[in-house]
Amino acid sequence: MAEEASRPFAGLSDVSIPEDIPVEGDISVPVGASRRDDEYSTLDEPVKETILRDLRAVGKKFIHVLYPKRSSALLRDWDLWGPLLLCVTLALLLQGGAADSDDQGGPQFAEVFVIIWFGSIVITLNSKLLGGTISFFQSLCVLGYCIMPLTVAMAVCRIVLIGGSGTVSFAVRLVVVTASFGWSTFASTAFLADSQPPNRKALVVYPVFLFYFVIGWMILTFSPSQ
Amino acid sequence: MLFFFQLLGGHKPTSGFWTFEYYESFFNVDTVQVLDRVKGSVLPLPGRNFIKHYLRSNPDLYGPFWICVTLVFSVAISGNLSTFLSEMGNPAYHYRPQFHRVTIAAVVIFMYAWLVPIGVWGFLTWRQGSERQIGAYSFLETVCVYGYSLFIYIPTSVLWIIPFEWLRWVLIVVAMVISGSVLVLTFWPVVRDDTKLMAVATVATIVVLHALLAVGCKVGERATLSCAAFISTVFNTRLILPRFFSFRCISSRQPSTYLHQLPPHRLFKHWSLNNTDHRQEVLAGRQEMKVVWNHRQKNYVSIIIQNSDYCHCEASDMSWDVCVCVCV
Repeated sequence: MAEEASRPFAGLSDVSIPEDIPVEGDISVPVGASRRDDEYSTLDEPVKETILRDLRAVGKKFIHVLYPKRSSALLRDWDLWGPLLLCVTLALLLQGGAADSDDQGGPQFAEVFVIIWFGSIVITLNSKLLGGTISFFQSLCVLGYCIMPLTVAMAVCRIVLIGGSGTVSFAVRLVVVTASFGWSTFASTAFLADSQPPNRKALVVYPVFLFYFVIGWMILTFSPSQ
Repeated sequence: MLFFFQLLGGHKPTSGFWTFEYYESFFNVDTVQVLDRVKGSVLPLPGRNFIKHYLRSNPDLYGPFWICVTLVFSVAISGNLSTFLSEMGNPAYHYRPQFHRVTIAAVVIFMYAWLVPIGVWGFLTWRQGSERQIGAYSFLETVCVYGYSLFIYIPTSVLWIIPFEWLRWVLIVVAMVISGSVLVLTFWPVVRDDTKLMAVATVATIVVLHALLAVGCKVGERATLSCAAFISTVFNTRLILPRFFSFRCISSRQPSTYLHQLPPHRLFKHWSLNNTDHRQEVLAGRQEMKVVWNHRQKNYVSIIIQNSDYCHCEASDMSWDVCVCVCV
């Protein structure tokens, strides 16, 4: 064994390395997959890059809701950041109205939260029980993102209410809320419709309609404190 | 909890309650079927049993659940709107959304839609004992018919916004009649085999509870609760103390129809003479006898032979509760 091992290095047995030449080199095995690994490993990137990537994904989904087409982009990469952001914004905007009265006032922060999340979960369970092929979190994602028109309407309503709370402002608010409610329902139906069995579509769409109707009602009846 | 799940799946025990398919079996309906059932609950035709005609052993939970949710929100919203309209001329009134109405309405309606069917189903099952008659309804069918019967209250609550008192009372009465008749038409064929008293009492209870729900939404919680307390006291007295009620002989001239409805048990005649107990099997022939149904032993035993038209149940324990006069 020693003879076979020493034959390739036979000529080196009398080579001596002087001590003043530093021995250095790169002991690395060139593997072709290291490049691909670098793309997936996000441990080394700066924090700003991480946050921006998530924000870009959320923003892309907002644009999908603004121009709803029958696409599966919203369904493929679901995330719940957008719904959380919208829910917190909506609940905060619904505060500050009649806050001084005890129980005759508008919905509390927790009530808005519970209605939105619990309502979404119930609608998702309903669509799955009726035989839908959409997954649980995908459906939550779609329902949450489609609240965006209603949140925009809430912001518009608060701006209109600064100007006054007479009949004209009520008419403007009614038009805005109705339009955004229709937009929300249409957008969510465009995303959810393909995943339902064809003879049960109306059974799945009706709870979505009811859900956005209740949220629209909460927005419309928001009255600022005097 | 396990018993509750077995209760729900009483008609289709295919998979365990921990699987998703178990709950999918309760949602096995199409749009057309749901619309058909809603239509059947709004137009009750005599002779059309809701369960037999529309459900056809495919009860669902979709209709009851979403009808209850819609009813909760429509009652809360229309109550809020009617308050707003009635106080519109009042300058001191400042509009409030009154969101607590939703919570109250949700509690009341969901409790009604679940607890009352449990009570009715339990009562009907207990009354029939171990005999599985054809007319016995499963728990899910009872919940289903109660849920669909609430549908008529949704347009009623929307029309409540119109601020005319007489119109509101007319709407309530119409809704109560329609919805109550759906329930009565469903449950009458089942209780009709029972004694007339219990049949009428059962149906009356169903109707009264339904009326309480309708009136409660109108006049407010406090009046409804006191009314409900009064009625339940009367009802419990009636159930707990039957021995103080004596039964009149039902008929002595129409025996054959009634006798056919009795289960085929042998009829015996007991009497005591000189401190000796005698027992004799009733032979066919013209005889007047009093027959009593014993719930414990599940047979007909005749107790006392009397000549007058009244027969009193003289036994002191609770197992005797019906007294029927039959001519053989």
